[in-house]
Amino acid sequence: MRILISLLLLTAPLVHAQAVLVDRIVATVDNRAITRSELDARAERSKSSRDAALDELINEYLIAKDAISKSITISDEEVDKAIQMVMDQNKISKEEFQQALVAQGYTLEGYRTSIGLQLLEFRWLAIRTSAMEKPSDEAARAKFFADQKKRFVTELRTKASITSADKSAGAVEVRP
Amino acid sequence: MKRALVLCGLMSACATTQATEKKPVEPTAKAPPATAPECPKEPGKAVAPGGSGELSTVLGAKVEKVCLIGASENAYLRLHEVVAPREGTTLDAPAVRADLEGLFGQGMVRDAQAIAIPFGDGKRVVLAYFVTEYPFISKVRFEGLNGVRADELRDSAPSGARASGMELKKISNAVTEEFIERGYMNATVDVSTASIEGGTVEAVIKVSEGVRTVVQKIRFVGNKRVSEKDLVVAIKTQLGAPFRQDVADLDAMYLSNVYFDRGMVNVRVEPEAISPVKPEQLELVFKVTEGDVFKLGKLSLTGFSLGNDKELMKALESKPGAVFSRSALQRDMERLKDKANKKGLRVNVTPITNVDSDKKLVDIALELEKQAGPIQF
Repeated sequence: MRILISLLLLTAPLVHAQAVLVDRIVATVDNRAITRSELDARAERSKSSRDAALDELINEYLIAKDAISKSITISDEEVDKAIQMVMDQNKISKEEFQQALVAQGYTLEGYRTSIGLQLLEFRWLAIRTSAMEKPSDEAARAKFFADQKKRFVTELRTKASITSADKSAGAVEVRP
Repeated sequence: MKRALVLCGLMSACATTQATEKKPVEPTAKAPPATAPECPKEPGKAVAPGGSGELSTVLGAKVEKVCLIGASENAYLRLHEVVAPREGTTLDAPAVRADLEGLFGQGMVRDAQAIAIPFGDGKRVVLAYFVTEYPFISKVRFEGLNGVRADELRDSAPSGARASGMELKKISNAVTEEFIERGYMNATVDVSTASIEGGTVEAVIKVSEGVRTVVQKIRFVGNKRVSEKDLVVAIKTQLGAPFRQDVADLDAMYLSNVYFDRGMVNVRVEPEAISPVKPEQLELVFKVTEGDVFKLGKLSLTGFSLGNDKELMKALESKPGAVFSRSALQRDMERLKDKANKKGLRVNVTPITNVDSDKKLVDIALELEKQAGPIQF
């Protein structure tokens, strides 16, 4: 009986049983693909759900795209200054800073991109709201900017093509 | 453990004797094949549901072979070019991610996944990319048209393109824009696809036109220092023309410029479209808050020197004590650039402003920065 089972195991097509899914596209926004590894990394870093992380990545892309179309940019020097400010505020050396980045799952290049995108978003929001009257109270001001960002992002999402593998009809089945 | 031993016994000492076997032995989950397996036909056969291996076990393995599965004959070469360089490298997650982005970036595939199949000692893999392509749009059909004919919209919705989400959105945006240009400011457009023969799709464009709205009247409110006659010539919106919000927003900017040139640097102009009687007729109202008139306070040149500052300042149109004018300041900036060009130099001029609201003065420092490289003509 044992021999029979063994023979069956030998002839069964198990050749691919060890195959590993390395990565796959889980969502697309216009001509940008978001992969599972990118989404997982973002969800882990921002300690949020995958849905929330996906929204973050989509919004980030749309804001950057809109900013570039309006010639809003951030220079390398501005990113350097912002990173220096982070080090100064935390009173840490460059080496300690790099160690902290690694501990949080960042590469220096990845962190620079992330800081650059944040600066770009601030500038984009400042320019898009430049003609608007802003409240002087700090809390009301913060709410004003949050509301405006939400409004602009909703507009951008309406004009964009967003699909997710889980939802788009006919997409390749998502494997575990 | 016992089972593993039995298996080994049946396989004549496992992998070490495989080369002498006439019939290749089917490997098991615990013993990957000795040679690179054939490219799998579908992902389901590569990764059994619930049975995919750990990514960490294959990262760093040598990619012996790259497979591209699911690409049509027409797309194969272009897509293969994206993934082919992975062959011979070590398996690296960021590189695979870049490949997937690259495959999608070609505008042909709607889905892609990468699967690694280990073989031999487990330090070598076959890397298989599975793609699903977008179908082509072979036919376009409009529904819900009344005021606009389909042939007027053909350029905005051509057939022949891939039915990607982005292409469908592009069609939707272009058709919507056509309606807005014609005054249908509330038109909605929905584009979907329906499969037809030959593996292509038909793009179905459903339009809800709404009402065509034209500007019946233009009015200015709050303008005290600038006449309506001077304002109306600055705007692009015309009476009887279709109403466009984007044009009205630009008009508000042009009107602000009129005020900026008359010293009113804090002016605010807000356009508002009102339907006074009928939905198809609009009154466009520009609400102006003029603010105070500011004069030019100090004017100075800083940074790179183009020569005698006094001489340079004399040639400028902006004069301290005069009513501030933004256009005059812009012309002065161009004058300084021209002056530099004549000397074979290239300068960037940045105005640094300081507004004194109490004294109603605008101080300007024009900062000159020498640019590297020759003058581009």
